[in-house]
Amino acid sequence: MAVVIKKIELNNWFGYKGSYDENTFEFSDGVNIIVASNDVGKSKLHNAFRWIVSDKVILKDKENKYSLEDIDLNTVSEILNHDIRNQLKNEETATIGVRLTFEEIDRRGDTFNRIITKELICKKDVNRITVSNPITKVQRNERGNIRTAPESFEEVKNKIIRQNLKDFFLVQGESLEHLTPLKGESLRTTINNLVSINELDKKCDTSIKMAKKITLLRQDIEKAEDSKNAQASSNTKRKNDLENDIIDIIENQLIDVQNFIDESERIIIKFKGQAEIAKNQKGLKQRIDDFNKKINTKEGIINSGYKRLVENFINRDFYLSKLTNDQVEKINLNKFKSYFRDFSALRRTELNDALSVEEQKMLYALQKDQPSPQILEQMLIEGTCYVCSNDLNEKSRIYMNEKLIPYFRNELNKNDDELNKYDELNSIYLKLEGYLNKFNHFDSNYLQKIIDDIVENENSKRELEFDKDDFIKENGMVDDNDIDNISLETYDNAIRDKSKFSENKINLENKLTSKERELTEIKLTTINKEESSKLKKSKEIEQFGIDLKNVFLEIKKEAYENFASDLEIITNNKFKAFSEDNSKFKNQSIKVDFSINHAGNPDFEIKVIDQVGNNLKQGGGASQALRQLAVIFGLIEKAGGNVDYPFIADAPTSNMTHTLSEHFFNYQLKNATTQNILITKELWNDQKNTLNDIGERILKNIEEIENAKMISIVFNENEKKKVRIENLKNI
Amino acid sequence: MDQIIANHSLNIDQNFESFINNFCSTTGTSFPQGKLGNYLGSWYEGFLFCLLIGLNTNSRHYNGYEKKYQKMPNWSTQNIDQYKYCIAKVLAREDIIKELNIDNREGIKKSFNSTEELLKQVKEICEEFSLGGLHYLIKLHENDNTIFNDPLALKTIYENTLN
Repeated sequence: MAVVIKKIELNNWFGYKGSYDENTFEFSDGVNIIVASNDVGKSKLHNAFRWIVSDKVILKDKENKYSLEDIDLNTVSEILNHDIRNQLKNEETATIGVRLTFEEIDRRGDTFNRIITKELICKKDVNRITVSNPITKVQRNERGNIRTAPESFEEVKNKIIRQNLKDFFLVQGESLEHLTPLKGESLRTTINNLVSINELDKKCDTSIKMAKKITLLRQDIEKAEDSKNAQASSNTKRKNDLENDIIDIIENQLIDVQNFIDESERIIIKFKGQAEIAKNQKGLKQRIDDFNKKINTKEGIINSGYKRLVENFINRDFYLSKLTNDQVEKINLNKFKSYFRDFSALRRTELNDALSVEEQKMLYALQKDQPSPQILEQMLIEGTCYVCSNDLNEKSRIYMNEKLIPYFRNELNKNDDELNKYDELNSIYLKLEGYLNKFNHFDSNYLQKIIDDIVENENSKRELEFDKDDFIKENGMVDDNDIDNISLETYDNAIRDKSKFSENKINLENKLTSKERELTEIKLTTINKEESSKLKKSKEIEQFGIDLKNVFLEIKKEAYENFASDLEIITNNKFKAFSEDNSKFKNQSIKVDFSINHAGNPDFEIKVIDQVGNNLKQGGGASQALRQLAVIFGLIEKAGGNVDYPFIADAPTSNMTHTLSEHFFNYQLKNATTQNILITKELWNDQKNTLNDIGERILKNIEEIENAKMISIVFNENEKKKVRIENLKNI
Repeated sequence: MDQIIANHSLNIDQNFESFINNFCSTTGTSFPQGKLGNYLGSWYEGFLFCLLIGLNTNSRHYNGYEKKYQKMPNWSTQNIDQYKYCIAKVLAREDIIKELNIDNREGIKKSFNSTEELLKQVKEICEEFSLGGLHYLIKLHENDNTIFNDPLALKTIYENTLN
């Protein structure tokens, strides 16, 4: 049974503008190498195979990450040829389609040929493109006549590459690690699908079931016999319960928990890359946020500084008043005040002119001694003049009472309007001096301190901004939308789950050990009890069942061990062959780890190790890619004639050096056992738009092999956006 | 005298209110978004700022308000001391006491009737100087419309008027 893809035809599929007959690739049944430069349509061609086989396409997102997508409203615009899409008018339709012709030759040599077509009708609806459900067609070629075939599309597509093997036969070089699992449940399923080793599993299962049935039978007999003896009955019941518990732990609980661990592990592997990137980006984002936070804090301090500054310009400390010393104003106020005093004195003199010369003299004498009205009043009480020591006569008394005392009390001219004006002005100017000096006591450097503070913070803010810019320049800008939080969360949850389930597993194992110990003790205490011959026989049969089960398990284990060891040899041969004598890989080899888990199921893990057995997880892209390819071809070889599916690979050597890449293609040309469709850019010179030296050498080798073929995809010179498919070597 | 000054009203020329908003709030909303140190929180402060500018540059707008509008009936207690300071500065000027005719005995006898009347005249003079300061700022702004953008603009403008 070998499947050979004869041709694939594309209709308005990505860059392949035009109808099926304009975009046809015809393949030989051997190795077909399709060469082209970047962006001409290599991955799009590979996607055509993928869409037929799996309903999905691989698209690159903005960050150049690959993801499996359906063709729907969100993606159809990318897939429908852009020229066609842009020319579509409202309500107009266009068809996207892939047609694949293949043959299957069975062991008797009978040929089964089918042409399968899968199409989508796209319609322009105002600003978007709507898309129909896939329309599929299965036809056969009967001596040149194309007729409808009886099978369903699903049935036929499964013949090209079996669904559960598509990850091994339909590979994408740049995302090999994500799409081709080399660990856990997926690898086990793949191995079981590729090789018939799991037939042993069925035999083992039967023996386990049989042993269990016999145990139940023996338990029934024992129960019946123990019913007379309460202690024995209780022991037997406990023993039976323990046995059942142990079976439940082994057959259900441990399997469940192991499945959870496997599933968590699968998620961890799948999301590790994205999660690490996301974690890294989150770290970068955190650093940028820290910068922003510090800058914002500085900005806050600066703003509050400015606020304090302006608030104190006029409010509160009235900073503006301190920018001048107001000396002129102070002198003037004093000067004006003295005017009013002078005017007042003059006016008083005018008013005092009415006094006699004697009065003047006396007043002069009194003024000299600075008599206060109180002293004059005292003189009146004592009746003696303090100046001449004579007794005061009546005239003097009247004079003092009516003239001198009011004079000194300033009451004499209180009704003089002019004098009042000078006094009022004098008191106004006294107040004005107070107003002008009001802000003198405040710290005149206060505002300058605020300004210095602002300047210092401005400088440190600028430094932070420079640091932030440098950081972004060095590490790139990250915003929240750039961070793949879903992957990170999924990965973290899986790590948590794995640890939780691993703990559960340990608890279950402890529980199992303790139950097994208790069971042994019970068995020891009851071993001496007298047993009927029926019970003895049943126990013998039970032991036989257990032994038989163990024998099958041993055989199964041995078979798997042999398989793992064979696979290791084959994959290592492939690994060595692909890496040829490259010194980088000299000390590396592939290790196929194998164990039987609690549930009796085999667990595989395939890894690259160094000469002392260390797992080279970070072995670099090339060694990981080589490992993937070696395992793929190792498994295909191990499967022998069971799986003659075509191997369709996009960029299988994308992570390898030119030498390794050349070696890989030459190796496949000589050794491929099934049809190979290998799409690559490694053999193409982008600048000259022709084959490079390696390509030329491979073409030369191809020319010597009957069923090998090389096809190039180039842009059409006449119609720039259209591609041209050329057979570089026809078979 | 303190009470008389406190009872002075605060007026604004509505024709210039939108220009005033370049550096001062006339609605009592302080520090709108994007305005920092160059923004005064009330027209009391704005009035005093213009008055000081007017006094420093000897800019006096004798024509009075084009479109007078009473912002507040009394002077704010928060800025009363600053206002009194300005009044002191006004009354410390030789030209002003000459104008008020209180620099000689005959003048005082003839022109000075009461503190209240004198302070009323001084208030008008303050308003004229404040308007003069405002026109000085308008001119500056006409020459350079980014004059208020610098956070330290008001300080710089004020300092320049001292030279």
